[in-house]
Amino acid sequence: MEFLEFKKVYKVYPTGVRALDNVNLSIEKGEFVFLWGATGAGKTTLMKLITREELPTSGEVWLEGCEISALEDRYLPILRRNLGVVFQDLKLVPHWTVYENLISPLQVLGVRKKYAHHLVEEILDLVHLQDKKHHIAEWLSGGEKQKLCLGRALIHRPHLVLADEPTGNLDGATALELVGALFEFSKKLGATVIIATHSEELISQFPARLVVLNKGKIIQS
Amino acid sequence: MSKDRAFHRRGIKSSYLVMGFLSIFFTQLLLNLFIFGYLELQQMGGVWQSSFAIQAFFREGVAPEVVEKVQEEVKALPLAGEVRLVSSEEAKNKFLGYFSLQEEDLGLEENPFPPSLEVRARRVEELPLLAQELEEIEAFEEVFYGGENTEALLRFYRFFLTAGGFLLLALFVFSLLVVTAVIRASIQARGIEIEVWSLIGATKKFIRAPFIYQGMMEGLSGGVAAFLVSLVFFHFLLDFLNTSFPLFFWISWEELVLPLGVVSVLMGSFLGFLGALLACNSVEEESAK
Ligand SMILES: Nc1ncnc2c1ncn2[C@@H]1O[C@H](COP(=O)(O)OP(=O)(O)O)[C@@H](O)[C@H]1O
Ligand SMILES: [Mg+2]
Repeated sequence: MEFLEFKKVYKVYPTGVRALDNVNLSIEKGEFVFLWGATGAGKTTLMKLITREELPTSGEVWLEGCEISALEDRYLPILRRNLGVVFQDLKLVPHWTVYENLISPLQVLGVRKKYAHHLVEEILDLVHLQDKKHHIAEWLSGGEKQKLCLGRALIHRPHLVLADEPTGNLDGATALELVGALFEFSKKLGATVIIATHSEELISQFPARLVVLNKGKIIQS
Repeated sequence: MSKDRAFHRRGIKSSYLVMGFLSIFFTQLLLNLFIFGYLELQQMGGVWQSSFAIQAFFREGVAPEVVEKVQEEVKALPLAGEVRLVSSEEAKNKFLGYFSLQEEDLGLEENPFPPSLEVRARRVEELPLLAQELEEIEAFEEVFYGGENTEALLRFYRFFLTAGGFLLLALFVFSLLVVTAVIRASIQARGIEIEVWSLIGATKKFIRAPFIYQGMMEGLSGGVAAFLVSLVFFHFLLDFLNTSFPLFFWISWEELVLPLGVVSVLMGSFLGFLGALLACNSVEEESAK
């Protein structure tokens, strides 16, 4: 059984755009994957099928033996709690502090306050936001917001991390540092990580599997 | 800096909190005014209805045994409530007293006032029916009750009670709409929070809980505030009314406390709860599209 599997997946948006075109893809547990493609290639759409923000037009998406493309809505919370997602548009709550944004996945999981607090401190160190702990998210720089978003994706130590253009607002050095942190996380916890990016520079820096998406088709995996 | 932050954060929530509170506060005030009017109407109706009685006059020269027998007969009627015999003597004295006359002023040898029965209906609505039944009794010369006037009055009163009931209901629906709209706005203002919670795997219940709580608290505080303000208001109003129109049957302030308190607190929190629930539903439906 594969960890994550796309079977003959098509996604056509109501506007008629064919975002994914017969995608077949298998990813094993613990793999570190770059999903590479130009803007509009369908990377975000592919991620959204895993988080169930979208449903495939046809085909199946399987995660750990569960067909998530057929999952009933009431089970979505269970699916999403087990994912760590860096959304392309971040999805931070702007009027919450860094601390509040970071701790939110732990609140959903019902983690005890003391332990949650401890985990937040750990993550603050990992993403270098220790001195911004009580700042309002809205006031952070673009790069800091992205670090915060990564922190929130990792804080509950998910088995599968999806990072959609997590370095879009970062300079080269910070981008490397951040993806480095993700790489460390993956190796340490055996987590599966998928990073969507259009940066060629980034993918050459890590010993990772490369999946190339072009106009909704997988042309290399 | 931390001060600015606190201000910024409170600013988002408090404006909506105040709106929710005020919407419940004002509708509850209105509701309390209505409850007062309704209770007052009922009270007046009670007093006024008990003054309705049928006067059934016996024929001239009726024998005392017949009077007694008929009185028992009337008492046995299912529609009849209290039955009282008014003797000719009493009728005469009443007449004399009424016009401040002396016995000699009448200059009569015989008492011209026939004895009568004063009959009240068990239920005031049945007054005309009861009068009809009395008319069929041979021993009575004449049966008198307000007739059409009484019936018209009764109809009027019943109409008022029904209309008041409907208005109360309409007011309730209206408050619910207002509260829902306000809480809905406050939920929509926190749309990003809801979206984020949902994306990181929070259940519907988890997401809704704070809004339901907020709605109930707004409702409860609005209700309690309306209750206190109403109490003060009615205290002065009744003081004023009692001194200005002392003969009128005003409800007492103490009688108002319990109904107003129960309705304000229960209705306030219930409205807040229901409003929040409806608002959550409609926002969820919208975001599902
Ligand atoms: N909600 C949507 N409705 C209609 N078209 C969409 C929607 N989301 C994405 N698309 C289209 O689907 C294609 C793939 O988009 P996306 O998955 O965001 O690509 P990428 O993330 O690789 O840039 C694009 O042409 C985009 O315009
Ligand atoms: Mg994208």
